[in-house]
Amino acid sequence: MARQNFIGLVVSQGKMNKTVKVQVERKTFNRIINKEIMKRKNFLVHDEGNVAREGDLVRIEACRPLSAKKHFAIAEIRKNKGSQFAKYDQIAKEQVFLEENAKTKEFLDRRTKIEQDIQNNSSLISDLAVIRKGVDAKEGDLTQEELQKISALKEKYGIKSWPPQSEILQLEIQSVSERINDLRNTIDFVEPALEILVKEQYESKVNSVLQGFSKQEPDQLKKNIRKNILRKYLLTNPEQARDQFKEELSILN
Amino acid sequence: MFRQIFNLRVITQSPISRSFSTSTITQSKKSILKLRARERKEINELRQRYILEKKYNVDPVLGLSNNPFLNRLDAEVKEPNVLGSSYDISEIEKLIYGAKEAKPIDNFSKEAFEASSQRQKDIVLRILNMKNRSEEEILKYKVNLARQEFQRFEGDTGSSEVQAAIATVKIHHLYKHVQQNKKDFQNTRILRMLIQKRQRILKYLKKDQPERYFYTINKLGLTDDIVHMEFNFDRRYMQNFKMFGDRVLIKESKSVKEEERKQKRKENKILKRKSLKELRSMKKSLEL
Repeated sequence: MARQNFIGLVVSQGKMNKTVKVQVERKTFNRIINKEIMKRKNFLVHDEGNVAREGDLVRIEACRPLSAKKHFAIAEIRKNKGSQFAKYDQIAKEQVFLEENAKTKEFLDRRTKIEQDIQNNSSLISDLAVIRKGVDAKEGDLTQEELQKISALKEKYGIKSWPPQSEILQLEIQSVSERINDLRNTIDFVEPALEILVKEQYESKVNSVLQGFSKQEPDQLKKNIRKNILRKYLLTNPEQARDQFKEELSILN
Repeated sequence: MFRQIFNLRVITQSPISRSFSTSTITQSKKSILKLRARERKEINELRQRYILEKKYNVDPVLGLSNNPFLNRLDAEVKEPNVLGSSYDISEIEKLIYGAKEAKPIDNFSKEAFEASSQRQKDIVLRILNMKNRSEEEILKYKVNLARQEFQRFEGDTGSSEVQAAIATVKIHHLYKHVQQNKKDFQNTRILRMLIQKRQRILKYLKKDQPERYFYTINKLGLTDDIVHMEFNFDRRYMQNFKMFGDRVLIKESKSVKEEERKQKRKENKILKRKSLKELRSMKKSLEL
């Protein structure tokens, strides 16, 4: 006779050696309410090797009585969800440990660097004062170290002559208004340029330009998608586009 | 009179009339076996209790103590270069430089100006330092940092792990507030809701992406049992985990107290045995 076989969920593990509790669900028909209802029964099941974990789906098989309450043994693990979770947990613990160590170290390094910066009191104005001092001093007055420092600072701020020709620092309000102007120019330029470039006569040239910008070949693209890609190209590289399509867009200017 | 005599007679007579009952040898053997079985059961029950207590010994609100991630967030806020209103030190330099440009001074080496600019910088930094900012702003800064560490992609604000991380930062923040203002019932309620919301989010994440789930709970110092336990942020919790120190928040009834005492006596009796070294070490680890 075939042995008794059930499929159930491991609900408790690690409390008894080589034993797990497995919950088996089955349907029974209740005649009074005329319905099928789920019934659950817990089995104590032998697990040689302690492999099953809570949450695993296992098939259990009857065997000779192993103890007063144990007549089943695990035959196979159908879904090792519980074991998988235990593994994930282990991996995550190691990962978090390493990551936290690295991040803490980075944080402490940053802190020492900031402390040094604050101690050195380096700021834009003091740096400029140092450069100015270098310009004012006669030759031979300055030591090698000072000269090196000055040249490093000059490189940092991009200063070639004294007083500096270009603006050393982009002051917030000015730069913002410039950026807005740029954006406005680009937007004004894109739509009319697009109208012209979509025309059939420029198709080959546009395709050659768009070669690297789309996954497919530009001539195989749908019309609307090609137009969108072209618009994106014009928006991101307005200067380049102006150069490339100089002849075509000469009407605009 | 007669009655008294009768009573006396009864009392004096009774011990004489009772015969000693002795059980047979086989019966005494059985009772000894029963006694031993009961002892074994008690020991096992105690062991199971310790296992269960160890499972739920972790604070369900704050998680494991000394979590490196949350400690780092706290330290980040206290850095001298972290400024409120999302200002940056380089921006302060720009500001002071701009102020100087606005003045008609054409000499960078003027020492007086340099000294005063240094002072100005110090003052602005001190004003904008996080020490002088509101709690709200500090929380916002921390939440942003936590978000950046958990995000799946640049600018991710909605994934489950980010939500859980933000909830954790907020919980720690509110917990401190409620601890100091124990009559703030409104915020206690908000804290309660936040804790349960975090549980809900994490439960979903476990179903959705188990790998990310385990990463998240380990990083936030939570455990799987905490996430899945039935938890209410109530007085029982506050008393057990000493939220307000040793304050007694729940008055136990006499019978419950008696039961507790009884159990403790039983426990101590069991633990005295020499062979139960393992149980004693289990109890010690629980108390730590």
